[in-house]
Amino acid sequence: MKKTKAYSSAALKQQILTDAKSLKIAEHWAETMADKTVKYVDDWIKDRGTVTEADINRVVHNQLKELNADLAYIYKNRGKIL
Amino acid sequence: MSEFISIAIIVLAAIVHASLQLGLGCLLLLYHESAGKHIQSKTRNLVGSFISGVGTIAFLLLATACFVISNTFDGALSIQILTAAIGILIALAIVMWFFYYRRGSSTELWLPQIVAKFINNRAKVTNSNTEAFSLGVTTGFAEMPFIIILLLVAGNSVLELDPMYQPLMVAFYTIIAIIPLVVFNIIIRTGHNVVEIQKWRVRNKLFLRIISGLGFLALGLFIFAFKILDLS
Repeated sequence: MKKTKAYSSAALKQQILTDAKSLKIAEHWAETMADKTVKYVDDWIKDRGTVTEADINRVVHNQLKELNADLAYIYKNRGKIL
Repeated sequence: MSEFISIAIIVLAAIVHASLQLGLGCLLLLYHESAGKHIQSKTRNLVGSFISGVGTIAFLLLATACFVISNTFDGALSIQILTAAIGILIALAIVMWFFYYRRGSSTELWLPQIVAKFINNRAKVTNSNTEAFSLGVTTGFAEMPFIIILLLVAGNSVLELDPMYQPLMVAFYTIIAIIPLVVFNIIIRTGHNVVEIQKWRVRNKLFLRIISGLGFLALGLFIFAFKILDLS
């Protein structure tokens, strides 16, 4: 059986900020992008009972690609490097 | 002439070893995860430790291969074993061309999922130099299905050299095997980010696949020509 865990806005925001820091994106801009993206995901997830991590990564990618292509690329390819 | 052939086999095996992609993928993961959490100097230390781990295990595995050949096969692999090795090298060339990478626009490898997940998770939680070193060692072990035959043929050639030069050649093999990791580490340090490198890897996936496969094939044919047919 696959493991399940509750969705956390704070954890997602932290993840986006961590990824942004790794790409040397300015802190203030990273914060703005993270807030926008998390708000979008929160709205998207509201009506859904169960989603997969891949679903969330896809939604985050779609939202981020308008804001920062490199950061969006990370979410498109999460778990696909090895 | 025979020393030249032995050195050529060692260098060729090391180049093929260097063309494998697991270490590089793992280095990128580690760099990305660490750079998001730590200051730059800590990330550099972790990546340095990771590369040391990969280098140390490559050195030790080749030294072990030499020891095993020296004690179990009376100092040299027989013609029959070398012939089998050539068969395996050709099979690995085919594996490289058709199966090493998964399909799609990623650099996912045909690793068992459990191994890929383990390395992924370890890269995420690596916070100390010891953990980074052991991640490098783990990566070396995870590549064993591909490198064991390279280590055997390289070890066999190392034993054909003057004993004074044998440790030197083992070190030389190790240096060549970790050159891509060192080069990519320098590229990242000089301002390129992980995404740029990953995009480059995806764009050149076919090229990398062909080069790796040709490397295995060339090594097999080289051993066939100079060890089996004894063209020298």
